[in-house]
Amino acid sequence: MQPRPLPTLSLIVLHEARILVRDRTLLLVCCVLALMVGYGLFVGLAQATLRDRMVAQVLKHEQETQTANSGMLQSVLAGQTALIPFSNPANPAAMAGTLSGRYATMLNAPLAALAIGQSDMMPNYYRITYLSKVQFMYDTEIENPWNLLSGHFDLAFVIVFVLPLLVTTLGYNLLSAEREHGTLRLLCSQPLSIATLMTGKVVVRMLALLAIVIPVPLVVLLLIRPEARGAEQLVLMLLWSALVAAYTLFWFAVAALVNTVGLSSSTNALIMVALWTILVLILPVTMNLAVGLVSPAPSRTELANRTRVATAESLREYEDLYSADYRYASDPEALLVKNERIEVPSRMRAFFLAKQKVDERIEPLLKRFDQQLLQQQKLVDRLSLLSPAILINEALTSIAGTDSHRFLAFKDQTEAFHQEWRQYFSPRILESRAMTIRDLSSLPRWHWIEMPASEISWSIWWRVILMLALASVLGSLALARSSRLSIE
Amino acid sequence: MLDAIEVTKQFGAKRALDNVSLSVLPGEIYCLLGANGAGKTTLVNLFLNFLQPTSGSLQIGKLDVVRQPLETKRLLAYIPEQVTLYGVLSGLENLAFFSSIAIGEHLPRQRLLELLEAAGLPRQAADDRVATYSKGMRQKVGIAIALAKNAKALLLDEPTSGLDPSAANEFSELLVKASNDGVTVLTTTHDLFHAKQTGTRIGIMKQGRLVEELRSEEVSHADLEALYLQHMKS
Repeated sequence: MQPRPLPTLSLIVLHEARILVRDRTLLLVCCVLALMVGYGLFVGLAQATLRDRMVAQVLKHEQETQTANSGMLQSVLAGQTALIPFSNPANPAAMAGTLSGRYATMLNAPLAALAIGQSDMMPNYYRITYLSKVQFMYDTEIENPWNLLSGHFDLAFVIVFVLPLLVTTLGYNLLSAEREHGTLRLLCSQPLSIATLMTGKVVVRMLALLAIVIPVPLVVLLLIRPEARGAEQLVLMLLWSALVAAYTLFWFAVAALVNTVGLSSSTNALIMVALWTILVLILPVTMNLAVGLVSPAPSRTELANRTRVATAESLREYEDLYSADYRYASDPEALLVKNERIEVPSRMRAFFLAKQKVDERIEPLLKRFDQQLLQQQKLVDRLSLLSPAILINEALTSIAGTDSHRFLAFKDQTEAFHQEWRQYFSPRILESRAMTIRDLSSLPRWHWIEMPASEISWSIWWRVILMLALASVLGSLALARSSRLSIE
Repeated sequence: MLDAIEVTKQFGAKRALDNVSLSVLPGEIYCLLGANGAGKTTLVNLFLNFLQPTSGSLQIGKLDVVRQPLETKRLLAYIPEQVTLYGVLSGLENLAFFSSIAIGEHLPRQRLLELLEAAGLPRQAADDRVATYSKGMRQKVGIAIALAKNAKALLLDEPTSGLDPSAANEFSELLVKASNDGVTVLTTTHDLFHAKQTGTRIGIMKQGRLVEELRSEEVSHADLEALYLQHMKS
């Protein structure tokens, strides 16, 4: 008679489910997981909503400023409003700087609530004026230091850190408990391989955990965030599910392998906790140190010092313009628009030119910084293959659109827009061309270009495949060892 | 039906079994006697493939135990010295699970109750949790599991150690009935009386070797006891 692996496996699954339900272990673990998933998702949603609100507020502010400027310009051009030197909307230097400006904004990705990632450290909007980019791109808000130290308790944290502990809780005694209770001998006297027994035990435990950790966040997102319902997002959700399942399988494979050593349940638990500490805590920290040593982060102090030097040199270069008299104080006529031309106050012109010069001088250093950051990111990407925790964290943040790659893309696009903004105003300021109503509607507009979905999918797919390969290798090893296990 | 061919089992420096050969024919009840550590349970473990022999081979129904573990386990039922079951399940649920694993199908409740009754478990205890059972009651569920399997061979490791004399007697009757139906039985025991009364053949083991084999009808209770003691002292 041929062996009947499938029915036996289903019998083991049903039996295990009944045992786990009866002794309430599963119920307890599932409740803990559900609470953590719920809280993690709440934190993610709250953060995403906060960022949405911030972007909406700055865009509203931009709109209001534009409307006010337009009204003011019409009034100034019609000679109905008294001229104010530094708030004159007809003056291109004022419009390029303090009076106007655009916001470069990056909207939340539709699945942002799944992982906070870099979004608590990297800005999702910049105010673009003619100021040096060093002033606005490297001068971001200071986060709560405690949050920066520990990270937020978001869904990614629950998956990367907590889920393996719950797998340990359910899996440390897969076989050892049967051996210690004495049921293993009777079980193994039946036409049942230990591999089938272990697989059945893993299947029921894994299904119980995944039944909470996968559908709950996805259903909530689909219900409350309409932008998450697109086809691309559904593919990303599928990838996210595959990734979480593969990571869970990896940890169950570790548990199965530990169980085939034939040690006691308490020793198995200790080994599992030690492995969790190494793989989830120590290895990422060690890798972080290694990255810092091999590819050091750019020095902020160096940047600050070089910026000060560049600023001082630029001020010196344009000191004649800076020291020019406020002629319009005694001669208000000087501020009037004549034949579509206006006298741009020399201090304002100097300011514009000096800031431009600072950026030109600092550019080589910033380029070196960007290269260093890029090298560091590449190294992190490569080293992430060594740590399942980093591997899954990078993939989870990619899916949520809160990974460093997306923020770097935002920074690059912002720099390009900053350049475009300056180029728009530069001839107007230098040639003293007054702003017109038509000019206001042709001001450069910001458009965030989302990273190609195919690029994101591919980077996540290979991580899913890698995680599955890791889990398969460990699982196969565990199954192979189980056939040689002595039952005494 | 059950064949051990020149089997040796080494645990490090200790030789638990030393070139043991025995053959149990269909319908025979073979009782293995011997002091603790003589190698009786090791031999049973080898037939169950719980251990692998250092040398030699074991066969059940001409199938190799190591190479075809699942196939050989379909042919045999095993009752250990202490039957340990799932405490959170009832006796009936334990029987339902183990019998479904053993025969690959779910037996109806009525059939399960009949099996428990045949093994001597009171019907009213069938739905109680096994955690509340005595050792003897658990042993009876173990017997019911073996009966459900309808196996061609029975491996028993001190099966009556937890049973009261009346239940032990009933168990012996069950064995004889099974043997009459063609079932092959290999049982380890310290109970010389039980071996003489139930066994078809008796083997005496000492320090991993099978030192004596005899047919039970050829020896009296007194002679068996004398022979056993003689081997133990030598």
